[in-house]
Amino acid sequence: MKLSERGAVVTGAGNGIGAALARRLAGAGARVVVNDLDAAAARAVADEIGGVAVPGDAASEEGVTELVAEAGAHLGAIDLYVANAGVGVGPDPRPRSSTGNCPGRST
Amino acid sequence: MTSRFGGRTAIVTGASRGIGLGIARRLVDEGARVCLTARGAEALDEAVEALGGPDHAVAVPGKADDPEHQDAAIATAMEAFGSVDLLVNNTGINPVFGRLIDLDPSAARKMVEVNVLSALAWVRSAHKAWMGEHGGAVVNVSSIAGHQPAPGIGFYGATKAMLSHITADLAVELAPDVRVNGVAPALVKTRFASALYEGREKEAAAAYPLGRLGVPEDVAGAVAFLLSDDAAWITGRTLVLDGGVTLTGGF
Repeated sequence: MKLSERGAVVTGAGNGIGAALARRLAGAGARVVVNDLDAAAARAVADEIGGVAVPGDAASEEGVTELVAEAGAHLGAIDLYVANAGVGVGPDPRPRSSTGNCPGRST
Repeated sequence: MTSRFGGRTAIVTGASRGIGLGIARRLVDEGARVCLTARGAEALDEAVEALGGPDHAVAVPGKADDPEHQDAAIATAMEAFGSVDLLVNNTGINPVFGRLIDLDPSAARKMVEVNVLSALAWVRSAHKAWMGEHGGAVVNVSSIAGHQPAPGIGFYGATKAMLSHITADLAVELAPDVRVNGVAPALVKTRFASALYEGREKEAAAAYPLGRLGVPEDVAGAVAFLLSDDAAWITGRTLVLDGGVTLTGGF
């Protein structure tokens, strides 16, 4: 796969399918921004693959705008964008209070 | 990334030029050894040469629907490389162009023989020789003409619809050890399809959202994916490769 040096963003990449996508893209040479609501999970995956964690809510316009701005600053160009984040299985992962921990999964 | 087909052997039928040769080239590039078949011995020899010679490729000339040729090709692949892990049924014929209502039944029977029954026979032979015991992966090259009406090549499309269908049935029969998938390309620039676009390529390409007709490499990439372990959870599917053209109704 010819992904060397491509800039990639994967949303919901703190675990599961998103994390697997991030690993595979990084393995193929891409520079990967790992996004997840769960900041610790995003950082763990980013550390593992040599990517950059940009935690945040990929389901809100504001969150996406911030994500794209920050990812663009890290990557220069966003060549690949994987909109993986979604809900529907398990509890809603969005925090219910500003202090609460993220209760569920984000893929 | 490691090569996806290192140590594996593929048989690619109809591989002296066009899509078949493109597939063979991609598989060799990713580490496979290939056994090529086609009718013309000379073009096959040139293909073997182009793929880097006998360390990478061998060729067995013959007609795809001839059982003796099938046996000879399987035996040659086993002898030269020791396995038949991958099979690409790429051979197809379309000897007539015109309305279904005017179709010559003998031409129709020949298309069924070559496009459908021989593909099935190749799977049977490969399964018997290797895949049944050791596993493997098959890709059948179908056509979007098998998924929707294609004026002028209606019966060709009907045989490809059969091929897509037996792809699904074989996938169920041979799971979990052997995966069977297909690809259904739209217009790909080869000698086989030249009558459909020569002199009017720009007009033909205008109907394609991706702005161009297909090239053999487009098909080769998808076939390599389906044959590889990257597609380990995919079986029975025929992947449409069409530059988006069927999304907008044209083709």
